[in-house]
Amino acid sequence: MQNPILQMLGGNQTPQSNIMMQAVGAMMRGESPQTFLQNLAKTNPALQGLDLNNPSMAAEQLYKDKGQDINEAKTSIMNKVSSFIRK
Amino acid sequence: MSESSFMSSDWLGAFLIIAILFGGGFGFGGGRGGAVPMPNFATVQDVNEAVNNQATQEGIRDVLLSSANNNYETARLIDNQTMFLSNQNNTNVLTAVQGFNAVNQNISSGFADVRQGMAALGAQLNECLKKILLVIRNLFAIKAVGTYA
Repeated sequence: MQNPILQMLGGNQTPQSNIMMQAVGAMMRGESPQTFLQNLAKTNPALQGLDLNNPSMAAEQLYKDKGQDINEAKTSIMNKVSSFIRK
Repeated sequence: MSESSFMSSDWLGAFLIIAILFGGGFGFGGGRGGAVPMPNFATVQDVNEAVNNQATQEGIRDVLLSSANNNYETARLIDNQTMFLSNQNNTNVLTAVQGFNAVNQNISSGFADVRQGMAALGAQLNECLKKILLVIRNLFAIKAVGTYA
C-alpha cells in the first residue's frame, strides 16, 4: 500500500520504512494508532494476535518477549519523530 | 520515560511495534559496533535511520521547490495577464486616438470646404458689386447726357 503523502514526496522508501513514515503521516493527520495498526494488520500477519486496542501495552509485551530494551527504543523514536516533525 | 505532548503513549507504542516487527527489513543487517545481529529485530540504530530518512527529507525539499515553482509560475501568469491588459489598454487608447484623428480630419476638411465656399461667395459678391457700380455709373452718365442735351 503506497501512502499518497509518500507518493507526493517521491521518496524511495523500502516497504518497511514506508510503514514507519505512514505511521508518522497518520499521527500528524490526527488518526488513532489503533485504527492505523488494525488496518496494517489486515495485510501484515505479524501484527495479528497482538492487542492492537492497547498499542502501548502490546509494545511492552513484544519487547519483553524479544528481550529488547524498550526504553532505549522509546527515547530514540521520540527524538527522531520530534525532529522529523520540526523539519 | 515521560510522554511527549506531540505523541500519545499509544502512538509511541505503535511506533515501537512497527520498529520491532518490521525493523529487520529496513535494510540494516545489524552487527554494527559489535552488536549481535538478531533477524527481524530492529536495533536502536535501525529506528534512527528509518525515521531520519534522507529520501523523505529530499521529498519534502522537492515539495517546497515545487511550491516555489508554482508560486513563480503564478506570478509569471499574473505578469503576463497584466502585460496583456496593459497592451489591450494601449490598443484601445490608440484606436480611440485614431478615431479622434479621423473625426478631426473630417472637421478640418469641412472647414476647408466652408472657407472655399465663402471665398467663392466673396468673389461672386465682388463681381456683383462691380456690376452694380457700373450700372450706377451708367445711370449718372445717361443723366449727364440728358442734361447737356
